[in-house]
Amino acid sequence: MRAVAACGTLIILAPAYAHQPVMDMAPRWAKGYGFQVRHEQYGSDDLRQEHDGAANPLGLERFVDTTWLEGVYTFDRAVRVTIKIPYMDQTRVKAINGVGVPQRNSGLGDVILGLPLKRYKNQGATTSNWGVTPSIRIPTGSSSGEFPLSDGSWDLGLSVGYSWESPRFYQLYDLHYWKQGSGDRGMRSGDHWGLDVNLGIHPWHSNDTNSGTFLMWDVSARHDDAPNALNLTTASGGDVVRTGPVLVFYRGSFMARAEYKFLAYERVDGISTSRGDEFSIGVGFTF
Amino acid sequence: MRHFRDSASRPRVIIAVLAALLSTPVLAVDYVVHVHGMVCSFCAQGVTRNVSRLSYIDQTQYTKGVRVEIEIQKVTIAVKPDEEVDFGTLFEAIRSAGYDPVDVWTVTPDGEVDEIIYQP
Repeated sequence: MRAVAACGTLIILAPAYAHQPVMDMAPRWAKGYGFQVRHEQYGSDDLRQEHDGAANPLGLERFVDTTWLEGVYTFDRAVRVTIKIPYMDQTRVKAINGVGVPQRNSGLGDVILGLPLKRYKNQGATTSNWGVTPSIRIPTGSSSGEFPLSDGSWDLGLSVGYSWESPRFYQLYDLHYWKQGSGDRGMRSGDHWGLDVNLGIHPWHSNDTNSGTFLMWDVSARHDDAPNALNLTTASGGDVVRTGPVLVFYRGSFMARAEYKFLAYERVDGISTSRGDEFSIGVGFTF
Repeated sequence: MRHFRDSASRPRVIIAVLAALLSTPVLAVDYVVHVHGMVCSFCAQGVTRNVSRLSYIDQTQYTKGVRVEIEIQKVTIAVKPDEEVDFGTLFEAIRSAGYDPVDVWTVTPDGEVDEIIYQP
């Protein structure tokens, strides 16, 4: 029971940075812009102790739904700016004095500004690019209450990526890191590492209608250092690997995307609610 | 030729032939540009967006005057009759879209790529 009482963990995971066509690939043209609305969900009612499952007599759980409004402006193909605005709706059952207590919070999360810098190489029927993206996370989310949406800190991020694409095949590798700042009430989430690998094909494309599909397989690995603050409701660090299919449909300036990633590996510090599977769906436009 | 024996109908035939000749539309002229790096819909969108804005492009043809075939890195442009192509602005429009133009080819009336007319 002590172990159960020690959990009820809140982990505000840094958002996933898997392949995002509107933000990553388009618009490549100078003075172009785009936006997408994307909904993602992760969570679980499984309890874990280190690598293993644990008994969950109190029915502890955590589910986080986030709707992202994301925008991009391209100065030229080498320099872009992005903004990501999350609206979060999170629920959990937390162990308090040996009893499972439901909690919920929703509202604006932390806004992320990014500066993707890319170096392209167009060679015959292939295109590739190296990218570096410094980012800053602004503490616009509420850090008050028993189930805060944010730790209230300014955070700095850096992503390094490479992608290669032909009319038939696609591959992307991206490594990112978030350095967490100290926030309100002494809260500080742990630093965060992430690695994304996307491998995919273009099974269909029509030149007449400029429409087609991408089918990709995504592998996402994440590491979170343990946070320092107990008032972050006993947050926990850990490692997680998710993997699953990504389907993208595009037609002209329109793009739709759906992704389901299964939990393939997980280790938590101490005892924590599992991060669970992750589902994401979104639509985007470029102009 | 039997109907030409009727002298009264001859002027009508001549007028009809002249009218048909005069009403035949003057077709836009196609050129093909080879462009490196185009691999997906977004590439086609960007190239079409930039090239279609050029004043000499006939937007009534293809998609706003442009057809992109990503598998063979080929961009076909329809040019307005009696308009001259400024290859410098054409290449700049494609580069500004994020891709690398290589050369421009003429197209035969049958639609076949014929010969290079511009290669910087």
